[in-house]
Amino acid sequence: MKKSVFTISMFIFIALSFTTVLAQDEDATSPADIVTPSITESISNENIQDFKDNLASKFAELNKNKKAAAGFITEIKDNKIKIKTNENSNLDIKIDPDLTKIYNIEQSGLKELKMTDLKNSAYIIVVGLPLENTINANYIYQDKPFVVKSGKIVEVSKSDYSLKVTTTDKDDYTLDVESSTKQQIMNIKTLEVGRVGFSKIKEGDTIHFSFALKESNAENNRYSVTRFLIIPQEYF
Amino acid sequence: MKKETLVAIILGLGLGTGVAFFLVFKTQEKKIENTKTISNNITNITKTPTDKNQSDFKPLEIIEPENNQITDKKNITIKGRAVKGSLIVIQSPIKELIIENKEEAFTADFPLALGENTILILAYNNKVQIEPQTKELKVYYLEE
Repeated sequence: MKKSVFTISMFIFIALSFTTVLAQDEDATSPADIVTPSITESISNENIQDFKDNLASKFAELNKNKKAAAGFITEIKDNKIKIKTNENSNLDIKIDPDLTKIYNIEQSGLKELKMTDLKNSAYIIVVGLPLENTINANYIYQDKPFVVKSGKIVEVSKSDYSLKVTTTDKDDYTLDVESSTKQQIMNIKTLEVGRVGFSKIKEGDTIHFSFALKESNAENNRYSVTRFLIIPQEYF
Repeated sequence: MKKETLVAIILGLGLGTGVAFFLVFKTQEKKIENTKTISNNITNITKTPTDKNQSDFKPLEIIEPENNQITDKKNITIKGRAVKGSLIVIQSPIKELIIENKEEAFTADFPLALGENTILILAYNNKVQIEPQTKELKVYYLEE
């Protein structure tokens, strides 16, 4: 009995081993052979992709930082300019004599200027990379600043063609209407904009206006208005 | 104990328990009813003013362009949101544009002058003569 059990067990063992040997594929390569080329390839692909991503994000960061600053020149010294911005903060502008380009904005386009053409109180727009309170200027454009406001007409003076206005900011302005002023009114029914004569303007009308900012007028707030749009009080 | 006594005790207990349950159940029902009535009243009080306030006080929002943005194009697309039905006025030193805001979102193609463009955007809400909502942007049209 024991002998026959032993014999049968041996037979089963041999049969199983035989089938295991037969199951092996001749073409199979070793694990090391399979893994090594794809790891190397994937590492190099990953490096290239990382490099590309870094480059793209650097460019995006540079472009994102590219905003303009503008203000009146308060000081010019050597290759540095100080300006007071529209937000009333002080900025230092560094100029590179070889790289910074300076232009004047005119109706016909841009006219190149030299550093010596810039004067105190001139209004400039600066484009460059900001670093805290300093900008390394790539470009400087000399421009004329304009103010854009809206408010209510509190007085119409037909004798000197002027309007007294209180703005939404609660500031008071006196606006001189010149022959060159573009005078417009909104039709309250169609909302279309058309020309209007001075005589049709009434106290209580809403006015949207703009004028060229000159520091000389700052004290009395009296300006020649370049254009305005009236929304009649009947609309409201 | 006599049979009759036992029956009496059982009946008494049963009736007593029944009455007790009835009372407890009724009390709970009344409590729930009262709570519901109060909460309904509160809802009714607060509902209408909230709805009205939300539509009036949505702020004017400018989605693009960004303030102090530089562009090399002669026109810019202004996108924003304001109260539905409001009158939008977009003004700059060279142009005024009026939009009747039929939906909450508005879009306008706006011309630019070379150099600095101060753009003021105002929303007059539903013909009510109150202060308009305003946003001011500076956009720079520059050729490099």
